[in-house]
Amino acid sequence: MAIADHKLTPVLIGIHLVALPMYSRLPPYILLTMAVLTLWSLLIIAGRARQPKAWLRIVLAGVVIVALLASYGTVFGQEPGIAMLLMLSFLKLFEMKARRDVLLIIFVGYFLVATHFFHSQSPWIAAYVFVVVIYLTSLLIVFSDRLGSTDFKTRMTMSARMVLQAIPLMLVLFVLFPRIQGPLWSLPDDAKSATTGVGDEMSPGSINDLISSSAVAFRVQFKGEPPAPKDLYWRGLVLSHYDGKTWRRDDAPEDLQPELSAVSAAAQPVEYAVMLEPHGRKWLYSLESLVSLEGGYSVTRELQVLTKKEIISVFSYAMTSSLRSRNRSLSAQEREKNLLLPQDFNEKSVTLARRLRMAAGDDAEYADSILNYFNTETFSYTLSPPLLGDNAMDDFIFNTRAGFCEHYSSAFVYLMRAAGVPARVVVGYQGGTLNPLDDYMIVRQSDAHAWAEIWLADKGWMRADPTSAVSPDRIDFGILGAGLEAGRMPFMLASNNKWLLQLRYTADSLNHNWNKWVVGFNEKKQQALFESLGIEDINKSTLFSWMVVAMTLMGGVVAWWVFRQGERKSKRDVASYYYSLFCRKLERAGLMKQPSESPDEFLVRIVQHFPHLKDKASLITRQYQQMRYGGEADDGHKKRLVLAVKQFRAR
Amino acid sequence: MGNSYSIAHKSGEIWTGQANLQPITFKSDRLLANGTSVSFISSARAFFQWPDFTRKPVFKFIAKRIGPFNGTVTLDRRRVYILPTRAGLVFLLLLLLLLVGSVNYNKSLGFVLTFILLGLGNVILFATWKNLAGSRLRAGGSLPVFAGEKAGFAVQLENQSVQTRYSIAVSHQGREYEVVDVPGEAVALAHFQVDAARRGILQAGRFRLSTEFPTGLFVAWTWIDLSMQTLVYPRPALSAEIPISTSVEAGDQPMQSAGMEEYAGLRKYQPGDSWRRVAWKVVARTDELVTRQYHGGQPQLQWIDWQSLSVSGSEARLSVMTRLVIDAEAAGRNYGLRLPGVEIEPAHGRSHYGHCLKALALYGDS
Repeated sequence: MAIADHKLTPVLIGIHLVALPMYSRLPPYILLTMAVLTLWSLLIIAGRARQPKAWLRIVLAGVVIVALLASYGTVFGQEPGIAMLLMLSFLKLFEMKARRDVLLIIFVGYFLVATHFFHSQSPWIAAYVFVVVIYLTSLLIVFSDRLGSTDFKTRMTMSARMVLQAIPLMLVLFVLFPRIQGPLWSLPDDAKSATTGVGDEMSPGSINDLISSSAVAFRVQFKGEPPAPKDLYWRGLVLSHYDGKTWRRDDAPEDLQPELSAVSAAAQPVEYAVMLEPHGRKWLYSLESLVSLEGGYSVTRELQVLTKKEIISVFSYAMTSSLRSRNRSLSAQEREKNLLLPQDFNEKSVTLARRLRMAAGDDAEYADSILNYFNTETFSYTLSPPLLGDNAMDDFIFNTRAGFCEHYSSAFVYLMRAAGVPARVVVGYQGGTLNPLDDYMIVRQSDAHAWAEIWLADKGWMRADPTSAVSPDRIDFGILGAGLEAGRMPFMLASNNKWLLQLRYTADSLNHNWNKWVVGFNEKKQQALFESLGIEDINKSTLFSWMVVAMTLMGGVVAWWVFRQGERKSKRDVASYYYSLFCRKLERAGLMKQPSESPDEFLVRIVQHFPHLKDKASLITRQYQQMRYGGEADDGHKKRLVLAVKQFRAR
Repeated sequence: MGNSYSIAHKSGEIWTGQANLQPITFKSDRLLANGTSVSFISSARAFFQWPDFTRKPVFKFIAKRIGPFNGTVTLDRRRVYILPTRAGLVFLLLLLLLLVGSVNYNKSLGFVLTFILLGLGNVILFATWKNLAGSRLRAGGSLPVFAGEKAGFAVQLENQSVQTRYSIAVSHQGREYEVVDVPGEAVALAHFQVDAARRGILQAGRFRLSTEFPTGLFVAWTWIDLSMQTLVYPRPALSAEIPISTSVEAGDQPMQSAGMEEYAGLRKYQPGDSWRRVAWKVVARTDELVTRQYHGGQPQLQWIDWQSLSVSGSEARLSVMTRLVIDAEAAGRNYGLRLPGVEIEPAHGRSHYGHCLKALALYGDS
């Protein structure tokens, strides 16, 4: 049996609802194929075209494969896989023979909506998916309603009610299902893509690009007062290797243990918990200098915190840093590494470095003189820096003199190394805004920053931020206060409208709690939840048996809920109930209704026995008969009957 | 070929056995003709049908719940069974896939989606079950048929809840006959057919009510025997088989031979009429079954007598007599019936006609 063509419409809408959030990231060939297939099925629905023949369907499948190959180069992997499933749903529209074909499309739809969570787990996408699930379920109703007697509204109501009734069981399972730290197998490479954030190398422009993004990098909750803005340097990676254009990581070997314990914990410790948005990389951000942290992360000698797996969903961790302590470790190998520069380039800069070093008393004084140089010379802070040539440093220091934090940190480290002072670039974020509605700090992509660290023999590694020499406001007032080109700033951030700000903070607060309790709900959170209830050391098998018990109980509750629907007293039942109450009252007064007697006959007898009750008894009898047998009883009848019976006194 | 017309043509109403009930008109277009490929039958077959395990002697206790019952049966929880359909099993597989994906990619919202779909499955299980359970069944009446035809039975489905019960299918002997909706606080009729092979009393036996509404992921069903029965008249002999020596009395003229019949006009098709006499051209034009009538000055009174028939075999004899009864009634004659031990005085009219056919149907039973 072919599914009637007009029934294609809701299915077509369903596929598009499923695909809507991916439109923006689907490649043009796929979008084009999708548009053509949609148009075609619309023509079929309108009766202007026929269902394609078998050979044409094969051709269509071929076209889809070619479009996939042209867009992705492969049909395997996450993104091509999702696109392929979507395309298959469209193709299936053209060969809907039986109900199972439609069911297949709907099931693929249920699966595809889950893939949205690869890209976002925001409350908005969750709400959207919820609505789509209701719609897809209503499609199931379309195809099991064999007489076609339900209309759209009925189906949506039914479906919404069923999905709502599914929530209790979902909550029970969500809390109790034993969480395993995934992945079960290695993820495909592209599972980690499509995230923004600071990368693991830095070249001119790499941070610049992040500035126009208002996306949240992470949120921080401080125990106690948050540090002053000038201390909010969130260290991500240390970049030590420079090839004349790009700074890269050159970590110390892993077996060299960092000296975390050597750092005095007494010096102004700051405790904080971070909810990191997925950035697809393997590192965490910490305030300098890191003193201690919970969890099994590895800490390198450069005090970078690395994770074993890429962070592909919201990740929370807790740390303690000390604003006073310094990292004092420097091996000979590290010294050599942090002095290395590409040979035979930027000779003018090298000369400048040597000259200023000669003039300075020690390394610290030299660093100050460089910062001073940036400050007093005509250097400017801009989001649109001119391009640099092969001798990038010479070009920047002597010609263009306009750049962003990556230019300044890079130039500063270069000049330090040229003069024999070990130095390195640090990338991460600087600053953060407190959400006044909820006690946490938001660090955005626009707070991305690069600065430098120099080694001073008596002090250890010292932070030096050359950007602050050029634009001190950048550090004190954040990126918005740095006097940069407003057009490049994220619109939402740049606005000063009070209402908009309030709205933004409320939305972010919602997001934060969502991340904390829903998206970030993992093994640790689960355990913490039970600990807060006084249940310690719960293992997976206990949890599992609890889950089964709770599921059964909840299943029973839901069953009761479902069965109770529609069983509420109908008008006829109400009428019978109150009429029998009326009869019982008369019975107590000594007058019993015979089973064979009709209400009218009984009324005659009532009037004979109790003439004074004539009006009331006939009113009740009339209302009862109207409700029980009359075609059009309304709420008025019911009210009158109920009231009359309640007030009725036989004696 | 002789029986392949839909019972929709036969009657627009069925009288139920209970006197206080009005004749219930059913929508005949939903009834299925023999062998007509109406869409939903094939789609239903594509789906999973669980074996009827109640036939196994081990499950006798289940058989007790099936009946036969007289009067009203409420489909309570012991009588309604439920299992996932094939689609339901695929849905379960989907859930498993989603769960593994959520664990693997560590997506909290993946878990939320998986669990909400699992919860949905749970709700659907109850909703499907409830769509059938709790309805009240009553035998809805049937019409007598001729042997070789299909006997139509109606089941009254009463819905006491205020919610409509959608898409309830009735099937018999593994064949689905009709799908009905029962609106809230209302009664609907569901029809099915049983092959009437032999004359006599035909037991409808047990039938199956099932529903996959609202999603098709589960199927809820019940087997019920409502002790429904109907009368099956003997198969009418074709006109050509009628021997000339049929006893005709009180007529002045002798019966003319079959070959000498003359065309006497058209009349509405009567059950048992020969297909050869159907005026197909007229049928094509008017969409109504009509038979060509012939007569050759037949007498006004006719005795249809067992003894006077020179036909061998009692069933064949009954067949011929049935044909004669049909023809005599159609021609508006007075006719009487003589069977060994039974004699029905000549008369005509619907009740006399039924009376005679019943006597023929039950001949030799008692």
